[in-house]
Amino acid sequence: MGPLLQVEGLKKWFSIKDSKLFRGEKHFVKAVDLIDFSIEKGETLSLVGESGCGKSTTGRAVLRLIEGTEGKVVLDGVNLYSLKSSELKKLRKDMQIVFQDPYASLNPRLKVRQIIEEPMTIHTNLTKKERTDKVKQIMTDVGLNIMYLDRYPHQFSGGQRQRIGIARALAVEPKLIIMDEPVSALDVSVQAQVLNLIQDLQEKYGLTYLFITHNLSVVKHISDRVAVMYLGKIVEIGNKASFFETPLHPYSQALISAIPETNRTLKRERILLKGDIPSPVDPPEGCRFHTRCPFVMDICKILEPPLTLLKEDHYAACHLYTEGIGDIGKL
Amino acid sequence: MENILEVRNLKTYFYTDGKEIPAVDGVSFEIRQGETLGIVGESGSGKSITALSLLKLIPQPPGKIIDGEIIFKGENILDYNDKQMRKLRGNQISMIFQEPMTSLNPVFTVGNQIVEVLVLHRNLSNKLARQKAIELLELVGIPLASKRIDEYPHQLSGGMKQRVMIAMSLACDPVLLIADEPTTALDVTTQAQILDLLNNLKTKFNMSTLLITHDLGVVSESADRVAVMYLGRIVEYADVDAFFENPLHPYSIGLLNSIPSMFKDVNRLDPIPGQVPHPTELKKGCRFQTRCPHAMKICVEEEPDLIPVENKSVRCWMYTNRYEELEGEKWDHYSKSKA
Repeated sequence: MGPLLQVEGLKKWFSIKDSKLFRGEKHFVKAVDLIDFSIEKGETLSLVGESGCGKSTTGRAVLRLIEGTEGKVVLDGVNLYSLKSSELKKLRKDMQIVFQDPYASLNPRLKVRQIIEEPMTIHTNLTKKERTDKVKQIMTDVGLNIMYLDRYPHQFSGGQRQRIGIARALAVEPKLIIMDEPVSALDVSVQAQVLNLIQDLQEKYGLTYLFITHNLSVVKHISDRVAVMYLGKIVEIGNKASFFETPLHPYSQALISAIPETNRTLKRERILLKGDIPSPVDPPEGCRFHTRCPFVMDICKILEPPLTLLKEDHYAACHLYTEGIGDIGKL
Repeated sequence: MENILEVRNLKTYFYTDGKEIPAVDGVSFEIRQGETLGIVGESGSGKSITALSLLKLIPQPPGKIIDGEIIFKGENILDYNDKQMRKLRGNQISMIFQEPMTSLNPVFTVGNQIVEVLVLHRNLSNKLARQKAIELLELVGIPLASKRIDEYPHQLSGGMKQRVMIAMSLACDPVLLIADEPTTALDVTTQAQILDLLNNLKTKFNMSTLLITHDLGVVSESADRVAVMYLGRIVEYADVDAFFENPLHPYSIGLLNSIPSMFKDVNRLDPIPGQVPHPTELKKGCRFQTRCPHAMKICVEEEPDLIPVENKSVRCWMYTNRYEELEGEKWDHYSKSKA
């Protein structure tokens, strides 16, 4: 049996319409540019990167919530990009998403019971009574008091709303849940509660997560595998232990070193990157990171490095290793 | 070291729908010359309201500073009139805000906005002010400053905008810089750049900084002392080293346990149970009682004072004799609410 989710050559380019501005030439925002990854059943893959790197677009393109420009997304043996929209709709119950903003992603006019019930009404043949029972059971699962069945979203705090969002995703027993920054809008103490819940549910129901986040400490806590994105490309992907022990790509190294830590006894050397992320419209030639890379070489400006297997289950796209300059053993 | 700022028993309350909200409730702290004090807390703790109170920027109504003293260089600025406050703001005390995207005026170039400060407070000519503005932009690490000065905010990235904000706040060599979540809206690598910049400037100008943040990691790396706030009160106040070595208040400990760390692996995090109560529903007694794993009967009946313990100040009965006398009278909010 292959992986639950297999993404091959996924690409999402947004065309920029205003042709006058660019004198008739067509330009594209290369939000996601030929990426491959796969997720095994029951596993959590974290997709990490800074704003504008294309991580959220990837999440949505995987679900075909936005249409990818090119590529294949195979969920449990079915290529979603070969389906008609009516066929896709039937498969929607296998893949759900939890959004970042618990304030904007719940319909303010619906009661909690309606919010959680709606996916079941659409995708299952359960009777009204069965649905209500299921709503109650899921609410208990996600730590919401069933006394609140008839409350509206505005009567809940941010953390509780995110629990409602998770409950809604769980309602149709999906195979894959995309978590798009599910804890970023929450306070620290509540964030920890929701992270624990996400892990508990995974254990209980054998869920598979694509976890999208910008927070590497959260990644370290929650994932089995990690993929780092930069300007629409995956620059490094590998199992968590290997990734955090020896991050290979200079960008990953900088990201990890940039996290402010509360542990004051272990002082790390910080790699400060110069400048900002370049615009994803016509990104830099060659390696997209070369404008900010502390180890930049001539070849990086011309040739884009391929994602290469460098250690067991650990790939990186960097000329340092293919040119034999970077010493993997030393890192 | 000399105290630049002393805040004594500051109380800023809000009044809405006939309800009183004690957003900042009897907060006292001081900031010494060249020192960074970090105020840390979650939403609703009153940390931003504390910052705004220092500049008397509280919208009134619904808010009001009802009590306390803010002694800045020996004078209580709560006695100042509007004209005196205008002279102080942006000049002696300046502030950078969380959202660099919304705190710059989109219809003026960044140059205009920095020049305005210099012309108003320093009476510089436009030409001199422009020169100084370019120097400031260079100081905060903006490349091609003489070109960038004529750009509009939308032409700059988030990190660049925050650098412009910092340049603007430094324009008049402030004695005190208030930074309200200066890096929260930024990416991690940009955050590292900005924190590094703030640290360098602090050393260079011996500037005092009040750093407001929800991120204990930022406090650990940038502050000299820390005040932890919860529901309008300071619950722990200490030197940063002492604090991170051995935090005392159950809330501080809970906060630290809630953050996943790069250096330790745990199967599950150890979060603080429950959520911050609504500030209109405050019970008598300790404000953290509803979420505290060590709550006792006394915590429900009486609020503890901020008392010195070891080399810190902490607001918790656990560190008093009275708690030991009462050992055994454990108070469990969860079983109470279930029963």
